[in-house]
Amino acid sequence: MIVPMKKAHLVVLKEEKEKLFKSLQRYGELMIISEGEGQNSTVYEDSMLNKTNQTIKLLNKYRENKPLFGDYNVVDYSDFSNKKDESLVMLDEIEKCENLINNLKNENASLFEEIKMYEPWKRLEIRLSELKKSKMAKIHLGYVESKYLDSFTNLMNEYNNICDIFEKNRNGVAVFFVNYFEEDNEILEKLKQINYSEIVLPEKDQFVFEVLDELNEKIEMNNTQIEIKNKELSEYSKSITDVEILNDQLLNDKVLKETPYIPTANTVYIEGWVRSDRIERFTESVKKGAEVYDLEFSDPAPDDVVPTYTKNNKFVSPFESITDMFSKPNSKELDPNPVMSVWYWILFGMMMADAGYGLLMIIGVLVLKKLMKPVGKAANLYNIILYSAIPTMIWGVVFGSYFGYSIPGIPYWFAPMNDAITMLLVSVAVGGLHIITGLIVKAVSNFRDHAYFDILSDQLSWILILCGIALLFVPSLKQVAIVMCIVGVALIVLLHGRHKRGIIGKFFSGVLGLYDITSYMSDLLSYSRIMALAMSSASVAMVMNKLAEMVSGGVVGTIFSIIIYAVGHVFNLVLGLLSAYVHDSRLQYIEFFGKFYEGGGVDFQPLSIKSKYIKEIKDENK
Amino acid sequence: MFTNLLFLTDVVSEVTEKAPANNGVLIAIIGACVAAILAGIGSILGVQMCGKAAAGVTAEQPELFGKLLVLQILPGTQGLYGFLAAVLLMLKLGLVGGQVTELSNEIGWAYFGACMPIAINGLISAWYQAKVATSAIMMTAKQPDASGKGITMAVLVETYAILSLIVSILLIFGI
Repeated sequence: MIVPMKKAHLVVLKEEKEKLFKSLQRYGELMIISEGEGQNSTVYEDSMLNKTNQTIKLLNKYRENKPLFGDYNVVDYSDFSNKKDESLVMLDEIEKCENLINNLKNENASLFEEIKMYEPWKRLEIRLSELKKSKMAKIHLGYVESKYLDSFTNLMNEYNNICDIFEKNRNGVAVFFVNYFEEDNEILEKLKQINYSEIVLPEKDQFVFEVLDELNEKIEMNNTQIEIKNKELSEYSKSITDVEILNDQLLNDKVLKETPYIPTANTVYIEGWVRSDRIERFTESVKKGAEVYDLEFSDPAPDDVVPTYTKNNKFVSPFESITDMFSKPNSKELDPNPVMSVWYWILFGMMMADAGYGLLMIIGVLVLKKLMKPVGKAANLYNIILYSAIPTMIWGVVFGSYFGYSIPGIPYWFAPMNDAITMLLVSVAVGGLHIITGLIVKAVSNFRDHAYFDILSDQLSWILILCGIALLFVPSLKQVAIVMCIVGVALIVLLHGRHKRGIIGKFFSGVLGLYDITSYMSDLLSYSRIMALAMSSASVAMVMNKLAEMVSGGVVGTIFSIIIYAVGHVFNLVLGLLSAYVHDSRLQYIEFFGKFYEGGGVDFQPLSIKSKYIKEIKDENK
Repeated sequence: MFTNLLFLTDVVSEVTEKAPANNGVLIAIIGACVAAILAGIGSILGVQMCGKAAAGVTAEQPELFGKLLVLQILPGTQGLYGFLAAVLLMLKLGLVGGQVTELSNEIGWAYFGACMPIAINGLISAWYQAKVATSAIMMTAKQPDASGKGITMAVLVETYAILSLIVSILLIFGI
C-alpha cells in the first residue's frame, strides 16, 4: 500500500533550530523540501570525516582477531548524541603516532642512504678530518669503473703513489690514493680518461667505521621507537569502535548542517512531507525539539512531487526492493508490490525447482543471517531468498527433483528433463496467467479512474483472447474458446480507435490495435526462460550426480564422490540463484510491469540518522 | 573406478568401424560438442570482458563488488545453455547411462543442425550481452543505485539466446 503524504509547515524560533533538527533526525519522520538557503558550511565535518576514515583504515591494519564478517556495533542513543571528548583526543593521539612513525621511517631511509655513502671506505685508516690536512700531498677518494681498475693501478704505480682499493658497488670500485701536489693536476687529467669520479666525504673528526657505527645505532634507536609506537597503535586499535562511532556522529552533524531551511528575522521555516499514519509521532518529535512552534498540515497540491513510501506486511516488504530497483511507484498509482511479490515468489520457485536446493537455501540463509547480521537493503535480499526457498521446494516436489535425484515412491507431476514440451507449455501457461494478472491490475486502476472503455478495449479484450487461445487446447471447450476470441477481437476493433475522428479512422485504428498480438506473443514466449532455467539447473545437478556416481566405490572413490556432490551442487545452486534472481526480475519488469506499471516515483527520504559503521542505535525514549 | 568414463571412446570407436551410412551418432556428438564449445567461448569472452571492467571499478569502489559480480556473471549463462543442449542430446542418444542406438547419417545431421541455434546465438549473444553489461558496470560505478536497470538492459540481450536454446531443445526432443 502506498502511504498518503501530508505536507507539514513548521515555524520555530531561531534559537531552537539546532535542538529541533536533532529531534527530527532522531525520529526520522520528516522529509524536508524547503529550498536550501540556510545551509551551513561543513568544512570542519568534512575534514574530520577524512581523518576518522583514515584512522579507521589505519587501525584496521593493526587489529588482531578481526571478526570475519565485520563488527556489529550497537550504540545507545544517549551515547550517540553526545560526542566524546576522549574520542577526539584519541584521534589526535593516533594521528601523532602515525606521523611519528612516518617521520622515523623517513629518517631511517635517509640514514640508510648515508650509510651507503660511507660504507665503501669502511677500512680507511685516517680520520675524515685529516684527509685535507696533509702538507705534501692531496688525498683523494673516489670511484673507478671496474673495467678500468687495471689502468688505475698502472697509473698509480707509474707515479709511485700510495693507493688502496676498497669495495665494489654499483658506482664502481672505491679507491683511495695520494698525489703529490705538483703531480696532482696531471694525474687527475689522466684519471678523467678512465671515468674516475671524485667523492668528497663530510669532514668529521672520526674514522669512517665510527661514523657507520653511529649511524647504525641511530637506526636501531629509531626502530625501537617505531616498535613502541606500533604497540601503542595496536593498543588503540582495540578501541576502534570509538572512532567508528565518532565517524558516524560527524556524519550526522554534517547531515544536520546540510539540512535546508528558510530563515526569517527571528524564526526558521521548514516545509516537508510526513507520512499520514505517522503524524502523531512527528508532532511528538517537534514537541520534544521546540517549546514554541507553529505546525500546520496540508494535503498535497496537484502539481506537487509527492514522495512515495510503500508500507506492506512482512512477507511483501522485502520484495519492494525488486520494484524499487526498476522504479519507485509514483504516489498516484496502486502499489504493485503485493501482487508482484507473490508472482516473483512463484516464478522464482519454478526456475529453481528442486526440493533439496530449497532446503539448502533455507539453511544457507539462516546461517549467513546469523553470521553477517545484515540490516537494511542487504537484509531484504536474504529474506527474498529465504521466502523463495518455499516455492522452490514445492515445485521441486511437483517435478520430483531432490538434488537432481527423484525419490521413488513419492508421486510427482512430471520431470522437465524427460518432458521438455510439457515444461514449455506449463511455463508459457504460467506466463499467460502472470500477464493476465497484470492486465487485471491495470483494469482495477482504470476502474478507479472511471476509464471503463479502456478496461473493455485494452484489458478485458486481451484477457478474453489469451484465455480463448489457451482453451483451444481443450477439445471439449473449443466452441467457448472460439467465442471468447471473437468477442475479444470485436472489442478491440470496435473500441481501440474510439479517440480517433471519423468512422474510417476509428476502424483502421481498431484493426491496427490487433497488431498488439505480436507483443503479447513475444511476452508469452519470453516465459520459456522458466523452462530453460529449470532445465539447465536440473541438467547440471544430474551431471554432477552422474559424475559422483562414476567415481564412487572404495574409500578414495567415496571421498571423491562426496566432494563432487558438495562442490557441484553448491556451484549449481549459486549459479541457479543468480539466474533466477535476474530473470525473474526481468519477467516482472518487462512482461508484467509493462502491462500496468507507471513508476517514476521519488523515494521518501526523511531526515534521519545515517550510519556507516554503526549497525543499530538503541533508543528507548523515542 | 574410472572405467565408466571410458565408455564414450568405446562408442566412438564402435561407431566409426561401422559402414559409413550409419555415422549418425558421431555427427550428433560433434554437434553436441560444437554447442558446448561455441556457447562456452561466448561466455568465456563475455565474462572476461565484464570482469576486466568490474575489476577496474572494484579497485576504486570495493563496496560495489556484490553488484558488479551479478553484472559480470550475466554473459556466463550462454555457456550453460550450450552445455544444457549438449547434455540433452547425450541423454537422447543414450550416451549418459543408456543404450546407444545406431543412427543414419541424415538423423545425425539433423541432430547436428538442432545444436546450431544455441551454438551460434549463444556465442554471439554472450559477446554482445557482455558489451551491454560492461556499460552497465560503468553506469553502476557512477550510480550504484542504477545497477538493477543495468541488469535489465543486459538481460534483454539474453532473450534471444534463450529462444535459440528453446529451438534447439525442441528439435532435439522432436527428432
